[in-house]
Amino acid sequence: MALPEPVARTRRIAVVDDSAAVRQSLALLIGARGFAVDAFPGSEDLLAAPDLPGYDCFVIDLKLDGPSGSDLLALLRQKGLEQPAILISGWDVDSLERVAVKSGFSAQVRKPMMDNSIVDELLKVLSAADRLMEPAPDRKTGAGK
Amino acid sequence: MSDTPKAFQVPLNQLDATAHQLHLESILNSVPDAMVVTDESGTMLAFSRAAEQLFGYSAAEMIGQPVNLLMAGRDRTNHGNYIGNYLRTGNRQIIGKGRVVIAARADGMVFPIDLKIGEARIGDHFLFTAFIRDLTEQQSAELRMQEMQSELVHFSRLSAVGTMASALAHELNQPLTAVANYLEASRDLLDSPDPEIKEVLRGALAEAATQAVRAGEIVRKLRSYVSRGEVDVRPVSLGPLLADAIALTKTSRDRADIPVSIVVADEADRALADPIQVQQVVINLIRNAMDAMVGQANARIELRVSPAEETDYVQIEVCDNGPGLSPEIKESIFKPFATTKSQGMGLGLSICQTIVEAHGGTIRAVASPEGGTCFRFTLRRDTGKTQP
Repeated sequence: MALPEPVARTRRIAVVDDSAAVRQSLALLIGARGFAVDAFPGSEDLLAAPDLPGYDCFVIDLKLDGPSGSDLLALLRQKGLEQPAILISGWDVDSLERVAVKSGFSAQVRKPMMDNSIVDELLKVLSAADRLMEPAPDRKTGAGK
Repeated sequence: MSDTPKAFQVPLNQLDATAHQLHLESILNSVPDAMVVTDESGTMLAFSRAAEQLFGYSAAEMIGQPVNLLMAGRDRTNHGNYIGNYLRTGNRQIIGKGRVVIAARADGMVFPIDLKIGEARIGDHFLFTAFIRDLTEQQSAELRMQEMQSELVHFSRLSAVGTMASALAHELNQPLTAVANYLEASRDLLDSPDPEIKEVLRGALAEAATQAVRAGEIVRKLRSYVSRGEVDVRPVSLGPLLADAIALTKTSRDRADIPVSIVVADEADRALADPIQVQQVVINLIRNAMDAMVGQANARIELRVSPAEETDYVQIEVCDNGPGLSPEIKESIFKPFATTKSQGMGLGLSICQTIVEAHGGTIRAVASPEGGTCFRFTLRRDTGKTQP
């Protein structure tokens, strides 16, 4: 199986999920693909992380103890953190996409995450962010190529 | 509403026959609620216009017939006892009080009604006047049906299963997600020559196995909750039991429109079953049929109870005229987590199968002659030889 193109620098991903099994397995899965992963059990734990601006993407579970995944993203945005985020959830499958879009997530992945969906989404989201960043750092111009 | 029964306390015996007849007819044609008058044997003496519309029978057909024709479920069989009991003891189980009971239309469809009964004494005789409101379309229907449900223990258990299923869906998602992730990661790590990575791989596989076992325990927990292995089998009369089950499927307004009829062959009415569990199966099958036909014109559901091919068994069929089952889903329909519903857990039929098999019966899905699906399950017939 062709692995994705190696990336120039190691991307850092923050995973937030209250289930230890999901958290650890996700960290391993994403880590095996060459990302550097930090996993957090709850919103507060992530918010207390020492280097929040250093992450390239947040992977956040919808249902968390304390503030929900949507609330957590809002708090991150309030802090001026604009990195892309992916919502994961096993709840209320039908409305997940709506919740994700409304809360400002770039993508959503349903649990259980069979096949490669979380890594695929991660790569897509990161390359979209790269395209925005590369030609003109001022993303508002939207000049593209 | 409470004063309506008094409307009939007219000294009828003082009117001459023609005046009496006219008076009665004017009442019968103008009362907005369906009204049925019976004598003390339960024979119908009058049948209002609203009653004709509600039940689909004409007054001419009904006069002289026993009133329990209009009833379904256990009230159909017990009605004679209610009147007898009242006349003998004066114990008013229902007189003057409203009660939710299950009624049957001419086409066999059953529906919940609010029943109030007034009495009128004429000479030595009693007349009973029943005022009937159709609860199907009433705002209060759900509320009143809940009163009835509280009498039927199984419903709370049934909804508890629903709540539990949704909680368990989430519970189950966690270990399954972990298993999938560990295995995906293992595949990526497999080619690494690094001995440390090999240890990581070993750990990931061990963890995946642990999580798979956890998922299995969750499923087992649910199954044991639903069916505790033992069934409380006793002789039951399927007609009333199923009529009650049908009424319980009509508690939500969007489902109430789909007519459900029932035909019970007399020789197949007596079965050996746990009544609560059999109702659980039937409610599940009817709800599935309803869900498969949402928005469909002319949707209908038919229950048939008849002798099974196998000696000393009866079969219960729940047939719909919906879209039918695709060959793919037909293969896996009784397997846990097989579902075509976007919000479904896919546990309902698996639970039905567990219950039916615990009764010593079988359940299968066959194509209905009318194009939909029939679910057919068998139960042991009550031959009268077995001790309760």
